[in-house]
Amino acid sequence: MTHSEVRPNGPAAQFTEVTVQHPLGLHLRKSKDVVQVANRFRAEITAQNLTRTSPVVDAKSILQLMQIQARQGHVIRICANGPDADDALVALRRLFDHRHYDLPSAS
Amino acid sequence: MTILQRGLPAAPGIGIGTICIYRPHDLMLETPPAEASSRGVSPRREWQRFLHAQERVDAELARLGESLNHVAADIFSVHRLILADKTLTESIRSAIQLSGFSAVSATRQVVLDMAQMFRELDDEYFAGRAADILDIGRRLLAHLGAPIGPSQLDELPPFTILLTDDLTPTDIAMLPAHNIAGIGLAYGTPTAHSSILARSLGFPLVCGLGPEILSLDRNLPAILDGYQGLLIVKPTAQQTDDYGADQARDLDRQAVALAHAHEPARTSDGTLIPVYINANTAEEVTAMRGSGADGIGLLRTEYLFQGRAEPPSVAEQQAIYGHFARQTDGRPLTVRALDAGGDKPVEYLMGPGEANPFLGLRGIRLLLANPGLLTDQFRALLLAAREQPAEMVIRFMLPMISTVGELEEARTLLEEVRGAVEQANDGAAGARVEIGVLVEVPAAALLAERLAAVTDFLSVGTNDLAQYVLASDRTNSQVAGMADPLHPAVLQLIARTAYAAKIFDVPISLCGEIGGNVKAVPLLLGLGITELSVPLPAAPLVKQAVREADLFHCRQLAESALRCSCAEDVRALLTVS
Repeated sequence: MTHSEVRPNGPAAQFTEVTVQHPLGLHLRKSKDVVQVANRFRAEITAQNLTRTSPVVDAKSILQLMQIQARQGHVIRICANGPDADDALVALRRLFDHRHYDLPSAS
Repeated sequence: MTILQRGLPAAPGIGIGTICIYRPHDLMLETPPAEASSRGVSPRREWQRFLHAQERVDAELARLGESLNHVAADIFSVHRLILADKTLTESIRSAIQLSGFSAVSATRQVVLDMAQMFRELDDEYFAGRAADILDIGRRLLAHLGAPIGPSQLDELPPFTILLTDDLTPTDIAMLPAHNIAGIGLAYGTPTAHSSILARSLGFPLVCGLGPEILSLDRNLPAILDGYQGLLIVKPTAQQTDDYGADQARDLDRQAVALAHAHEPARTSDGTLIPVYINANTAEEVTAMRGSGADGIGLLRTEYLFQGRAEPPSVAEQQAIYGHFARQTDGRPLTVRALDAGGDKPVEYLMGPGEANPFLGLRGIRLLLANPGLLTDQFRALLLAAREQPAEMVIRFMLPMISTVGELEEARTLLEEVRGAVEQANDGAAGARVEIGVLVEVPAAALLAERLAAVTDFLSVGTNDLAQYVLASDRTNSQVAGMADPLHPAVLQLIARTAYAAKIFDVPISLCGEIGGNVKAVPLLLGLGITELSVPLPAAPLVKQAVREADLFHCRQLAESALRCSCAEDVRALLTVS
């Protein structure tokens, strides 16, 4: 499910909130998946870690996405703004819903 | 002239080769010549140079990703993504086009700033990613023709004795296994994370050799002795011959050990000694059967609790323990209760900072302060055990017990959980779960008889026992060398604990790193240890060492060792025998 938010000086942005399921959090490999999916869309896509109240970052940049330090159980708000915003959010949600429960490794 | 550097033996084996020094921070620390836009750098040309270097680094990373295993492939594909990241490239572009920096200075400055920004993050994992950014920066600078020739880990020549300050997981993934003869670390300790990882690759490894090794000339001939913890630079012809013979004997022994890896280990006089492995990860649990080990003698559970916002649920833990128990295929499985604190912090459990975390609220102390953690973990293990065959042995081991009262309090809690689970149980039997003590505090060893009377098994954790007996922090490389498990004071306590186990007829295992030292195996058996739990790659060799031992001689050796006054004398005994 996605929501709309009216910004004072721009078109309506869609957003959705997801919980990080993976035991290692949004680690390097997982972030890579998110960034690669985000880059398939023209919409401007941002992410914010609500649990840590992180700054809002560009989800198309892995360097920025790592800065929100998302761990298992943290809630992330993903915001999309642009012609294909809806599709982008659906695709990104799927990445988080998918509980690929590979066992964690120590490193 | 021959130079001898002493360190701490961290992984067995002998390496003979030439020195290669790896200084990961070289390129970044070099101060570039001062530059300004007035110097007439052409921004357009510099930006083109950067793009060209970026392209070549990308091709290089793509090639590396294809040539190694999937772990490395993953890492390098992430590095390619970082390399192409607009946050990085736009900053470099503006440094070149707006501030007039050269491609080299712009890259260096932006990469350093970015790495610094990561280092300042609160979360250790994400802060650690600074290393990945620096890694990419080094590659870029090398392609931009920066002043220093980089020593790249993936381009080491054959028979390399790699000397460096410490290694990160990224470094380790890049090591060309077939070209590494041995690794010497200036810092680090045998029980540190980096050592455990390097050991899993089977390289001879010596830690704590001191920063002097980093100023040795590269390409000098050297020998790395992973048994005694020595680095011999410019060895004499005699030393090279002797070590060459040792190495050949090692390889023969290894071949024999591997051929018999799946057979039980009996001493020459017929006593069966189970040889288990210590497991940190799901991968190691899976690899256990292939190694021929007799089960898992220490499954650490900290990582299940780390890097998340709250502890895993009972159901989640049950699924994981069940998975591990199935992997062991009916062989014994020992699960250590959450051992948080000390050098293994778990964010959401830690109270205010402690001045002495190793002497603080850790292990069983932390569990008794948060009994829900202990009972949840035990409940999950009991539920997982119900799905296992009745003849399987599952053990739950309590870390950092220092008083009999702690054990009694924990047992009361655990037996209540067991009662509740059995009552709710519809009659399915499953494996029984035993409760035992990890003896790693001197007080526990001194009162081992009192503990043995009320426990199903004992296990000696020599890493912590040594650091507590010798009052030496094993994570502080300046004193870690003193925390030697072969020190006679530590051996006295091992003997005492083993004696208590014998009187009360409970199994006594040893799960410290020393168990993986094949030369120490006869001594440990002589001290009365009846089961060994060792690092995975060491299991076949330890089994072979057991087969070559006879208990009568082992006991004589132990008696001599207990009379020694220092660890060096004990080591000398082991080398002779």
